Amino acid sequence: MKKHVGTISLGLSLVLGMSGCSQKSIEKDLRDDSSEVVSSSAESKLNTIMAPVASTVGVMSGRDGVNSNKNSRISSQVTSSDVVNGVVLSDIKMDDMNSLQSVYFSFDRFEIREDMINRVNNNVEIAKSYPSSSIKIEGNCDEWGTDEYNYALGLKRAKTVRDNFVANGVDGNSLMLISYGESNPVCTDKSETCWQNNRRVDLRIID
Amino acid sequence: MFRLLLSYILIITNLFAIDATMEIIKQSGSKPKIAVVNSLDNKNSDISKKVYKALEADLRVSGHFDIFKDTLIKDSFDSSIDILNLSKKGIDLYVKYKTVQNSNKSLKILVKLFDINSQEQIFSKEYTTSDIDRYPFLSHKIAIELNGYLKAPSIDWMERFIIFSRYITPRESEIVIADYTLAYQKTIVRGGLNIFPKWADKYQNAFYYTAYLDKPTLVKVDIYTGQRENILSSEGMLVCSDVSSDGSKLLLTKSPNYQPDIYLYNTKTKNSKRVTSYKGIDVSGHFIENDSRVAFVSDRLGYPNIFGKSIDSPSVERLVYHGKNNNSCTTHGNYIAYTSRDSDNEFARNSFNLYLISTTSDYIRKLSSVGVNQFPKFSQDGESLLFIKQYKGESSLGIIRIYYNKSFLFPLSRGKIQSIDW
Repeated sequence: MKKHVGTISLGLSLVLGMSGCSQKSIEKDLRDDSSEVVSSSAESKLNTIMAPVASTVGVMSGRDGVNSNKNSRISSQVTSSDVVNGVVLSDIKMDDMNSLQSVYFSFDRFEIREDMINRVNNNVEIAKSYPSSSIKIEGNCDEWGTDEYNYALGLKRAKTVRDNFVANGVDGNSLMLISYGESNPVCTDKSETCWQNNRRVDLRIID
Repeated sequence: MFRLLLSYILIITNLFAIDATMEIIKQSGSKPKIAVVNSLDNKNSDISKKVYKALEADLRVSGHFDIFKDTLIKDSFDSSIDILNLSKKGIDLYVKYKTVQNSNKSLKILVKLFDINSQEQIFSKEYTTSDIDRYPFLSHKIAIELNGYLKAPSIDWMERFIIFSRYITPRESEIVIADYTLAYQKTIVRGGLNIFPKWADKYQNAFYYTAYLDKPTLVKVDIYTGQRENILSSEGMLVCSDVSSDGSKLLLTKSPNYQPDIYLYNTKTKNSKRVTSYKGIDVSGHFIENDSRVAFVSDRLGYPNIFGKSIDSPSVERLVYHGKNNNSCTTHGNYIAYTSRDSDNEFARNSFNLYLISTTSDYIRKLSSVGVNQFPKFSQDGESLLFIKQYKGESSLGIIRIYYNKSFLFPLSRGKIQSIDW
């Protein structure tokens, strides 16, 4: 510090001496040819991070409502004439009456609504007609709320449907439950209709 | 002696005292003015501009610098500097850098730091990477060292990896390691549904995540060897919500009888101990108070809220008395940050905002105002909060610098962030 100040003072006096009282910028030569090499420790670790691995996809998974097991029956969607709580549900055609129907839920709830009771009962009868098959019950949620809570909420919805099946004589050992939280939307619009369509339990008959 | 005009007025009362509150009163005074110069040697190359942008962002996020904005400063890396002129501009610190790219994709950044007030060069350093795409980490390192010269509060967290999962299509998600700005991203797990990644320890050598195999399965992955270990499976759902400070215990949400509850899992003995027992929803367990208690989310009042309990005691206490839908939380020491649904207001409809409370006082502070702000995660030092924001169709990673009242967003260009950890 003192060395630099001394250099500045000397330089200043020389400049003033040569040019009278004219003022000039003072440039300091602070070059230092020695430089320290620093590597970012976090960055260098990235050199050895493994290549992407593929998670094994089990036989139960699928996309867009299509199960990879070709013998499964996909739960049907609702006709366009169905209006629930003032919300017109998806207008995808209903399959024949032997297909399991998705069950819809209110926001942040997992109880079976009164308007879904007939549907659930119908599903029970269909399930009973496949006594040697397993049924996969998938719980789903809309996008609201944090995902961990939504996975639990989806599971509670699936469990409610399962409990209803068991109470009505379906063998509990034939029922498999899984929650997809908000990972399995059938639509992504920002609308009440879409959110309602996503708050559901899907059912699949697995042979 | 370094003439800093750095004076913060932070009044932080001791939180361990009875009735203590944490309060940011005011930030006043001025921060050191720093000029960052993309030296003429770089010829305004793309990489030099990216480095400039990254470094400037890091310095701004730190909250410890006043960035001098004058694009008219032209300087070569090896030339001497005009101290008087810089001093007249009010500059306290002067940083210039030079980027050197090689054909093998490696990058070197040479940096010089000058203290204008003491009129001396502080350091001249080289930062290197074998992969030019990792330039953000070099920028973070440079910012950390500039910050270190000021002896300002640590920003070492900038160098840490972020791990997050993002939904790609229905029932498909991938897991990505990134820097905190998302400028660097590396996909490390893909194929199928892979969710809730969680660092296994503070060294970030391994992580846990849930893979949807024939059942939801908790998998541990060593990111350097690629070794994978299936830890356990559960019907219905399975999430690793938190890891103890020494990495030996996990708080899991699992559902052995399709009933989601919180379990304490010992990674050494491989034993699980049930922590909550409630017929509704108990999720998102987080260690608090030296890992002796758990804060968690439960709907036992009819709506999601934050509760606490000792691991070994059945009694449960309510921790949050505000809000009607508090559905995720994170903890650091005696602090809890959580997401709460706010009613429709003049800002937005159905917003979820972040709040900060202390378990030892009545302190409460709102940290956000618009959008859907979820999944808060404290940094290791507890001074910053990472979170996910969904707003106007965009998914972003957010950083809140708690002590500086500043919030920053880094948008994700593809997919929707499902969960994060750092």
